[in-house]
Amino acid sequence: MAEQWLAVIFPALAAELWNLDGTLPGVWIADTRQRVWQMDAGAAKQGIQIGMSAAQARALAPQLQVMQRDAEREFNLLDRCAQLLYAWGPQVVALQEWPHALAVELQGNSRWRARPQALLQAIREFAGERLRIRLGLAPTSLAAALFAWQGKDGELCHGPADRSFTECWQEIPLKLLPANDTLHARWESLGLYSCGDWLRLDRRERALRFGPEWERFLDRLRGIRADPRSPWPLQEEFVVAFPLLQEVSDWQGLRFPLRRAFQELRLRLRHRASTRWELLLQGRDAQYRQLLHSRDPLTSAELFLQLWQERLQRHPWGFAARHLQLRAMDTENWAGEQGAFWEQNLLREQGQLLDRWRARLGVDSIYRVQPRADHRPEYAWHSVVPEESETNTALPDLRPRPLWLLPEPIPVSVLHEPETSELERIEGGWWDGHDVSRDYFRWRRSDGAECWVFRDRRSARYFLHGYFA
Amino acid sequence: MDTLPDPAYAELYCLSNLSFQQATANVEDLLDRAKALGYAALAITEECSLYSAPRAHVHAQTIAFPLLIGCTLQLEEGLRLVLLVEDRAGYAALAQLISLARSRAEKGGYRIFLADLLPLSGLLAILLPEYRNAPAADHLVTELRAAWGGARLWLGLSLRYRGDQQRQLTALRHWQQHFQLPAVACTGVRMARRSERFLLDVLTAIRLRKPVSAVGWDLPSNGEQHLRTRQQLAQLYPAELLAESVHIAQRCRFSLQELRYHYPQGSCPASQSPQEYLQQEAEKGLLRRYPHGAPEAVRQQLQEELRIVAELGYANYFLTVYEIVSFARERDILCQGRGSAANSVLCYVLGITEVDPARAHLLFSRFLSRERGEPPDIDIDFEHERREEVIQYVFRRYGRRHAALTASIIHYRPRSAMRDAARALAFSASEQDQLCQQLAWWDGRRVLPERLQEAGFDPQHSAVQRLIIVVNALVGMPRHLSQHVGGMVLSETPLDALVPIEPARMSERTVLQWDKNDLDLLGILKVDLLALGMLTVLRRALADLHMRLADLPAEDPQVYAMLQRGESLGVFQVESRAQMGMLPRLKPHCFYDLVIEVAIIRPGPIQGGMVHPYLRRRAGQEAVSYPGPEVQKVLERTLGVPIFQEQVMQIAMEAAGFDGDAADGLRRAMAAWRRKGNLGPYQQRLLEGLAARGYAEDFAQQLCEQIRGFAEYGFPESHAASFALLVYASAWIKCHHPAVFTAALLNSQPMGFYAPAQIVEEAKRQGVQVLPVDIRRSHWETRARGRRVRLGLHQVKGLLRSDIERCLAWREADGNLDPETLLQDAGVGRQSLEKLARAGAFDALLGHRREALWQILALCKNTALALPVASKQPSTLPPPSAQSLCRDDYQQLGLSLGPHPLSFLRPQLEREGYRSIVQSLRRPSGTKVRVAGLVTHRQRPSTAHGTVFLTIVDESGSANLIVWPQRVEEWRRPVLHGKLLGVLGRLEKNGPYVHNIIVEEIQDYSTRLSDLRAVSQDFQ
Repeated sequence: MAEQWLAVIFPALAAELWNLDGTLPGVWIADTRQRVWQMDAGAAKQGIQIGMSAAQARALAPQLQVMQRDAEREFNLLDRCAQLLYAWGPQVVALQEWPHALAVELQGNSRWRARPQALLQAIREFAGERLRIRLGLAPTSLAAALFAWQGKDGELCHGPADRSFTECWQEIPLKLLPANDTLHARWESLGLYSCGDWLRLDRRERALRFGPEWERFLDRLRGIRADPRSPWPLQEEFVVAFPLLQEVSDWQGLRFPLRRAFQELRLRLRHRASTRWELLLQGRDAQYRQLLHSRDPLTSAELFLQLWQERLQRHPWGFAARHLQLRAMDTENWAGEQGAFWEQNLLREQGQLLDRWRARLGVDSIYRVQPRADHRPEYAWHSVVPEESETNTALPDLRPRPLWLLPEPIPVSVLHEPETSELERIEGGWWDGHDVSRDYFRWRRSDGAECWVFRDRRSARYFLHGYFA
Repeated sequence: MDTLPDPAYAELYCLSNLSFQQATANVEDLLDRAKALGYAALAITEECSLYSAPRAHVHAQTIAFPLLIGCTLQLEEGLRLVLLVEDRAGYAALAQLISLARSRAEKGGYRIFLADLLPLSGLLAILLPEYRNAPAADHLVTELRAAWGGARLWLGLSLRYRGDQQRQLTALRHWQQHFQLPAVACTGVRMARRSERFLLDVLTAIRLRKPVSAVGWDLPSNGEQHLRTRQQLAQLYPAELLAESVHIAQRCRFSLQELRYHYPQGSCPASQSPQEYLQQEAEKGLLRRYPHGAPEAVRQQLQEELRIVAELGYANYFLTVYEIVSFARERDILCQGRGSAANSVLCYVLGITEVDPARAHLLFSRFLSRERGEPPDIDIDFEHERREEVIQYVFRRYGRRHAALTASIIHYRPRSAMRDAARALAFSASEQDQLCQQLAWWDGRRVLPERLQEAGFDPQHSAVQRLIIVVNALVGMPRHLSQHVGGMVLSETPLDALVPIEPARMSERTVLQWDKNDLDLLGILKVDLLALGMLTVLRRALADLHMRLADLPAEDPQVYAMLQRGESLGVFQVESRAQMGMLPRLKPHCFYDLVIEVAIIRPGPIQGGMVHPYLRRRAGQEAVSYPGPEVQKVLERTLGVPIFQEQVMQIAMEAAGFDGDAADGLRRAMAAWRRKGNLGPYQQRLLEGLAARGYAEDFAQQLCEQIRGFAEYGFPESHAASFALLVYASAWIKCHHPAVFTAALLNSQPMGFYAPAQIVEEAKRQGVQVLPVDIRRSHWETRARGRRVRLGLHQVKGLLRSDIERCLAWREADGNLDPETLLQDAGVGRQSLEKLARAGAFDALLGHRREALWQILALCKNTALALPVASKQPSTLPPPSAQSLCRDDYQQLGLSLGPHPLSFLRPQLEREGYRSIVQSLRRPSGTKVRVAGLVTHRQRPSTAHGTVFLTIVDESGSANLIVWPQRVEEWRRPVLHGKLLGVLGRLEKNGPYVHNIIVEEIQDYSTRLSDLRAVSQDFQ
């Protein structure tokens, strides 16, 4: 039985992803040469065309949004689509000749033969109203893709029903082939418009002129040469779930089953590892869900249990759990870590300490203070995650700054006018709406405290902003 | 309580906004403010430059306030200091020091070392060391102290409320004691007022290419770097530090007035004075120009001009221009002078210009005039492809220290201000694009909130409000220094002793630090060496005809008849659509009519509403009248309508009583209108002067409007006369030798309004046979023979000239021209061969271009390794269809000699009711017509208030379309980007040659063209 491939092409995925809710009037994306590379239907309606210069496009429709490609989102969407297609065929492949094209092998699929509309409907529902799709059906994945390009949005194209594939593949226009502009121009100048025109020329002469790769492409298109492609990775779920032998309501009881769950998952993960773990405990009437993050992938059962202990003792579940589920999330390839035998790995220990603190206190509770280049004292520092690298943004000269800066200035009554020579005038911040104009000076309070005080130059009021001692 | 009197103080450390992105205020504001605050003097000390010196000098003189010249420098070793000019020698030393420092760095930067300063005299220095360090450790100050002694050096202290005043003062005392140097107070001013702090922050961010919020410590910590009141200074500084500033200021008595500029002597023989030599050369030239004797009026005019030149001492200037022009002629570089002084008998006989004064009947009222005090103004146009030869000759002839290009200070305009401000305020790249895109449609200098709203920004949002404030503050501020398009200054004495010189971005060029307008203030003369494409065309055409410009017969009626029909495609200055429409209405029949034709289609006369009155009066439809006898004197030759720029000035002098100085001021105010947006005090003076002489207020207001129009762009009569000569010359060649003219135009591309396709179509209309590119016959350039033109290989897009030169040399040597031989033996690249094949250059050799391409694609350069060889059998490819040929022609050549693309679509268009353009234009005026054509031109002139003009062509001819502003938005897409338009419109005829179609409906049929591409030139 001849193979049958269904190609699914998203002709404008990169642009359409930005406008899934339809709130923008139109979106287009420029390439590195500042030419329109892709646009959504809204932009096309405004006259934007592929290949148009960015300046021209802006002049034509200044209200449209120009966006950058978001490769991660594009991949995620294709991945979701591939997972959907895996429900219908044993092999899903990416057609890398085009940016957003997938194909699924449907040979021998009785569901497909019985109700082809069900799959097409599922794909159309997946695309929704905002993502355009092209669908093509042919005995080879390349031919299916080219049929898809020939067809209309959302409709399945498989060539004339009354003719065989051997006849109708020859009518595929050469301009649909993923060749560069120079080659397309050559074909056009030679009067070669379709695959059939190509076929009529001598094979050796063709190869000499256009390169053997196009012979191979056409062979794969016709199905007379194998077209091996890596399958799209089938997403696996790394979950372990089992009922607990007896009801568990504290850490001591949970420790053993959790170790077992972790070790089972480790076996399944093999060369993969995770930094995010989800624990689900199910009681008779209650459910408890908790997430755990770690800086490095967790592979040690002791460390894993230590972190969960910190977390669960601080946030107990408070009921008798009868069922446990542990899920490893965002798994990634993990080849282990190299370390010197004699060296003490201080950094790793620091990281593990941070993980423990985070497990106990929560992710957002641990931060580091870092100076920031801003003349306004309250903006001259900020909190960062501990891993962020240090920047040298200390005040360049040795101006006096108090040891303790108050979170907010406090109005204060100052009994004497400061000497002009003592003043430090600080102005700035108009750009973020927090413009200040202050004269700072030292003031010894009656209780002996050495205060840092300023006079607000607009209101002429005094404020305490810190203490030197 | 009695307050102490404010102490005397002179600010000795102050930067203006001509230190580009380092300060906010212009020198005029700084000087005014310093005077208002009662300062004893102000030193303008830009960062390693004297950019602002002339402006500051002129303004200081105007307000009678002491100005000190100096500059701020940062030594490579680390010390910062201010240098002040004490005397003339010091000024020369400073200018040369700056030139040296600039020459060591890329454009915009400088590098200077302590050793450069050690030998200098005539300068005073204020040192600004870091007082935190111990004085003994500072070897720079030690060395400078040893070289300069203690009488010319000061330790400067800048107190700006940094909380460490006391510590700084104590440290200063230590340094004073250690070096035995006096100390002085100085601020380091960068703003005139504290309120400009936001602008200084933005400029700092722009300079550092970061958003303001990310600049951090590089922003000033407060707004103290402004001109503070003396009372404020008295609270900060000890009295002796303030008093010392006045002592220093009193020592610096140098003024730019002391500068003496001497024009170089040119090639004057030592035995003669320049004036005698000029007279001698003029007499020789008179004989050459008038071999049968010059008319008496011309002879008298020449004597008068020579007398004025002698009186004003400009003989050397004319001799220099004469020398440059002579060099160009020796090298066969076509050139022509223009400008007020150029259109004189003197320049004509010296060969600087070709406008025969006896023929042109020009009034030489703008030739040199002692009353107006203007320097002579001569611009020389050279062939655009060879102008650089002349510039490099001038550099060689006079030396790098005696010749330089003038600078041009580029100011912020709304779009550049928006771009920089948005970047500084951390708007994203796409937001910046969107904001700037909106500005393309704006007129005026202010950015309004409504426009930002149209771009999708909320004008109520605080970030947007801040942006608007910043942009409006930036507009008009200096942005960077550029080089003038061709203004060159020459000097007898080294130029770098007068004005610092710095390297330009272009290699082999050096630029003065003064703007071209500032040179006039000090009487420094410049010669403009400009580039003109039409001169290249004329040189090529005249070389083909073995003629000189002077050989062209004057006042040829056939030439005027052709122009009266509006057949001016390719003719200099009158080929635009507006000029083409004007020619049949103005009906030029003599040279002076061409002078008017050149000047009338300009924003000046158009905005002043002068075009239609002139045409009506010329056609006798309206009586010629004058509002007064003074105006009649000025406007008689233009039928009572001001057409030339200087006529407006002459009215101001004659009818409003302006004296020479005031008229000159008015001229400058006109030039500055675009920058400042008004005429300043001259507007009121003009209105009052006209009223005092009994002129109606309406007339006065109308005159002001006209001045505004001329400020946008207007032509002086002398320029128009020079250009009219080129109009006549190009029209004569087009009329009598259309093939030669076509070849010259095609060889000089890109230039002018029209693409090669239109130039070739026009040639065909004139009966010229245009032959295709052919590897056997074509040269690199397009060549004409009789009424035939053979397209040159330069017309094939993307060809390497070196490949073609190899190919032509091979052909000269009778080599075989088949592609394989050309590749293997002649060394022509395969890509070039492929392009030639697709352009049809091998058609005659190999049958058709598909066959040629098929053969070429199989070729590969011989290698030591035997590669598979393609069969020699011809392919089975069918010959290309006419459509296919047409498409390839447009892709490879930008034009087709075969059927017009529209002829392939004609049957379908006919069915839809579209008629050919020529057929439609034959119908009576007012009827509705339906035409379709390829768009060749789009224009939206600023004077047309949003109306868009389109030109479309089909296989029969071309039509002008008018789209009224209210319909433009509705048809935005086809109007802006449509390649093939179908139009229903009303035919409007004005005489037998002026036809327009007022568009009522537009259809965009561009998709029908498939891959046929018509070349369109868009002019906004």
